[in-house]
Amino acid sequence: MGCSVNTTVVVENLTKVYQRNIRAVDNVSFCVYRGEIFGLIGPNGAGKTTTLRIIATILQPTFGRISVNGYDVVKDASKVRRIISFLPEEAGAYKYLTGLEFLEFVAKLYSKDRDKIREYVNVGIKLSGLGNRLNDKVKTYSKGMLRRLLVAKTLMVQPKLAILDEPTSGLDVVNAVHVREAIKSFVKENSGTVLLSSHNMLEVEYLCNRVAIMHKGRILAIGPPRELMEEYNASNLEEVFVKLVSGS
Amino acid sequence: MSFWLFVVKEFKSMARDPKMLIAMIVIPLILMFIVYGFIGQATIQQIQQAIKESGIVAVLDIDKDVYSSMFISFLNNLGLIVKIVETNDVANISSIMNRIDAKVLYVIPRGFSFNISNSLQTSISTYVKIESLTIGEGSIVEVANRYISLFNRFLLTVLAKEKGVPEQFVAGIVSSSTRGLLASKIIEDPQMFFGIITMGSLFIPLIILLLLLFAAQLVATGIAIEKEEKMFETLLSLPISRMSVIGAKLFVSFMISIVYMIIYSLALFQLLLGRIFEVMIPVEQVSGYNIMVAYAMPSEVIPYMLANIIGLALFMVSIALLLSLFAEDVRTAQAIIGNIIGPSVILVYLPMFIDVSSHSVKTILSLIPIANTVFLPKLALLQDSISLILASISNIIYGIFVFIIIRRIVNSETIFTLKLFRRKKTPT
Repeated sequence: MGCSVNTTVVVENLTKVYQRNIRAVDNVSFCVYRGEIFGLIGPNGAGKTTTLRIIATILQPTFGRISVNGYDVVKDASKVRRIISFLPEEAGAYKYLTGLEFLEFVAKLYSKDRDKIREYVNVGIKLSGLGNRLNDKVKTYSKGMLRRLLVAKTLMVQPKLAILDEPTSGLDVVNAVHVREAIKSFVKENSGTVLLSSHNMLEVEYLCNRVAIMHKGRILAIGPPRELMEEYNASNLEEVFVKLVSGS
Repeated sequence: MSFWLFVVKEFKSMARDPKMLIAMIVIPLILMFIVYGFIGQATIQQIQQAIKESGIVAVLDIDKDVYSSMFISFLNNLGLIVKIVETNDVANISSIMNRIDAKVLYVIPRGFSFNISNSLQTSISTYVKIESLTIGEGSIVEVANRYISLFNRFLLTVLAKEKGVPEQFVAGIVSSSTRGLLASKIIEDPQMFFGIITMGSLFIPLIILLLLLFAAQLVATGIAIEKEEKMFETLLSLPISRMSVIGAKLFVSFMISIVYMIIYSLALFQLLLGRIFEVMIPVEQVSGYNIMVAYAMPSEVIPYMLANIIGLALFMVSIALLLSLFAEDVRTAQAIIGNIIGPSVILVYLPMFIDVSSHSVKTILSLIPIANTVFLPKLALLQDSISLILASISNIIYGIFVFIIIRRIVNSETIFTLKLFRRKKTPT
């Protein structure tokens, strides 16, 4: 496929078939450019999470080729893991560690250098915005606080590619806004690349430079939100999605 | 680096997690009382059965004089069934023992009565038929000797009266030299022999098994906690070796289990052995002897035993690890381990109750994990080198096999997709 050289992720003809012949992702291709926030959007069951898990080296593709910064996610899985940071949709943290201990724990997995670890943790503290609550055990956190901590641990290690699966799912407005701001600030300050999924199309419209609309394992459309809205003569991405689905 | 990071995290999480504390302290304590109580009761029953069996004794009276007759009458008066052996071939004890329907044979030598009459020390040779190699059988040796010491005490009062001297001046006229007879071989020191059997059959495997069960529980719980705390998916995408996470959990589980092994060993001696020895003979007579048998493990068995135990540890923990990969949460992991690994403890008892005289039985037992650990000291005593080698290496082979499967699972997507019961919801 025709991706420019300035890409972080290249997905070519990705297909994932689970047991019992369930085709979760069907011949999907897209690129994620360096320094952009790219969103996979679509309803539940569209194939977003499977796509992200394959890019994060957790699952393996049935067909197709995926590379991150030039590394193949199957053949060079360990190299890919060094440059990505993944936040699963249903992620948690070690309940009996404090928020700060958890950030330190994750930071130490990414670097042996003490200064670097301190830097990561400081970034994490700032991104989480949890203040003194970081000294409390994770088990005492609300869902929103936990998600903020997890977004912080994902972004603080300054990955080449941050993969965020439904980063604001189930959060109240205040926490969702905080998470979105953290993502924006990560891209701005670190020139990082973010690949995220969401079924909240309005959120994606605000956050992403480009989006791919997925449905039943296939990509129906791809491009900047504004361009897609213009192309399909819609006032928002939800309308674009409805038009695409009814026409597909 | 990541290995030690996970080790520290594991210790920290365990110390702070009440669920783990329950799994590590409360449940093991309950288990300890149940297991020790059960084993203690079973052993006591075995000993009581053995005491019943030793109610029939055979006597080969070569002396045929007044004091040998007194000994036979004494045994009869004790309520024992005494079978008198008549034979001309007194040298072939093995053949005599095979013919008689009694576990104990007393051979009263010529000159027995003469010696007693002349205040000279004399002895009775005691032979104990060893067949089942059970702990209960070991107590027959004790009982057989005890009849002699009772006779001694009786004789003491008779002689003291006859000669008009105080009892304390006439001591231990009849001594007993006891031998065991196993597979036509004379065992010179059956007490020592059964000490080794007891050590090999009960104490060591029990402690090792408890250690392994703990390690299995902890490993399974540790893996399940990662899933329950929803860290599993994140861990799989981290720039670390997946096996180092598994390794850290194994390491922590073993460290904690070793501490438990020490506590359990102490409890074993207090709770279990105390009760058993109370049934056998007075504790004060046993304590010194018990220390002696602790050092009586033949040194040539140790390499085989070590290989077997290392193999068993590898196998059991690998099985626990493999099973825990199926579990979605701590409760499922505990249930899997409890239902699958737990009943395997039954295998400990297999060699204690199975007749091991057949060669095929020996081979099969030496290939069954756990059972072969208990069986190994007996194999050493029976000098069956092929079965001994099989018992020492088979567990390692099973363990390596399971470990290879785990490695393959851990380093593939199967570790993520493997579930005990597939969720209805398919991944999106």
